[in-house]
Amino acid sequence: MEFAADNEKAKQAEGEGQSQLFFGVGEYIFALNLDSLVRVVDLSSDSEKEKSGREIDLRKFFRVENEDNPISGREGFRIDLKIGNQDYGLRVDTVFGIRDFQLAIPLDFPGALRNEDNQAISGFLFDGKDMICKLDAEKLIKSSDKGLI
Amino acid sequence: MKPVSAESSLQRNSAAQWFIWEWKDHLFTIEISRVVKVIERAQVFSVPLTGARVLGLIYYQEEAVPVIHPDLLPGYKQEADKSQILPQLILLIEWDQNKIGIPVDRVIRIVEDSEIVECQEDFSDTSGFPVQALGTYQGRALYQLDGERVLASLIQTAELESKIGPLAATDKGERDEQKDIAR
Repeated sequence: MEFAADNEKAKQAEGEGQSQLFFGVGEYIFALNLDSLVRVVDLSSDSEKEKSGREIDLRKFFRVENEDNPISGREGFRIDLKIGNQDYGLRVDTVFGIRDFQLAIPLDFPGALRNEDNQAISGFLFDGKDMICKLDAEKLIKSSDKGLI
Repeated sequence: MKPVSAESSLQRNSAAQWFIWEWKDHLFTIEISRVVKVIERAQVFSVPLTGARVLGLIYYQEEAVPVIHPDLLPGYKQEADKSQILPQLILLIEWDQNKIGIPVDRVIRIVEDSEIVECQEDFSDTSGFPVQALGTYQGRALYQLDGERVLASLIQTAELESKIGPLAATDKGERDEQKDIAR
């Protein structure tokens, strides 16, 4: 059974080895699988700003707005996704780029803290320096459909 | 997950050894069998949507472990600077297969049950906190941490916030709310 468990972990690690989009919202850092990624738009530049589909502001979703970081007046980035046949845009503060997390350690979300609100964070990647939240785009969309943002 | 009661389930075990630590001039204790490790200068990572009772997560042996916010314990006063509330030491305990990090200023020592003087009367108001008065150690009041109520507080606060939005970290209304949860 120990072999089976190791094998499972190895498979999981293989999955985590995929390159992911690495971005920031407030003080939090996220990684997003590239499967649904269409493009990243820098909203401070003039080109290609038009929305394509519903926009979800991750500062609101993750409740990072405060007096020091007002939502109004900022630009940041928009991450355009295609999930199913629908287009979505995620408003974020910073996009660091695409990064390979092969050496990062995948961690489960603590079971005691799990609730309907935080399903969009599927777990974490620990790279020795940061604990990066793994964003599950489909669950994020479902949460927004339920009016959780 | 096993449902968690908000009522204290603590019973004093006279055969127990107790791990005693200090936090904000208060002495706390827990049975040594619950202690996993004391971690020095652990990095506490902020994570969204985990509830106001969670200070952050630490990495420990391939696990992300929640560290409780200090205001869940008696003696905490609001700090203007968030960096001031990050503890020097974190006591890792395990309760119902959940690891939890507890802020610690100083480890005192491990003692036998016989070294703790039983209290005839309740020496302090512990209502609203997941602790109960255990006795005194070297003339100082000793609070026994109730891991089950700590867990219940973390779970219920996170669930409450998922329904009504974030609770302010230290305002009075939220403290009353916290007391209700911890009870």
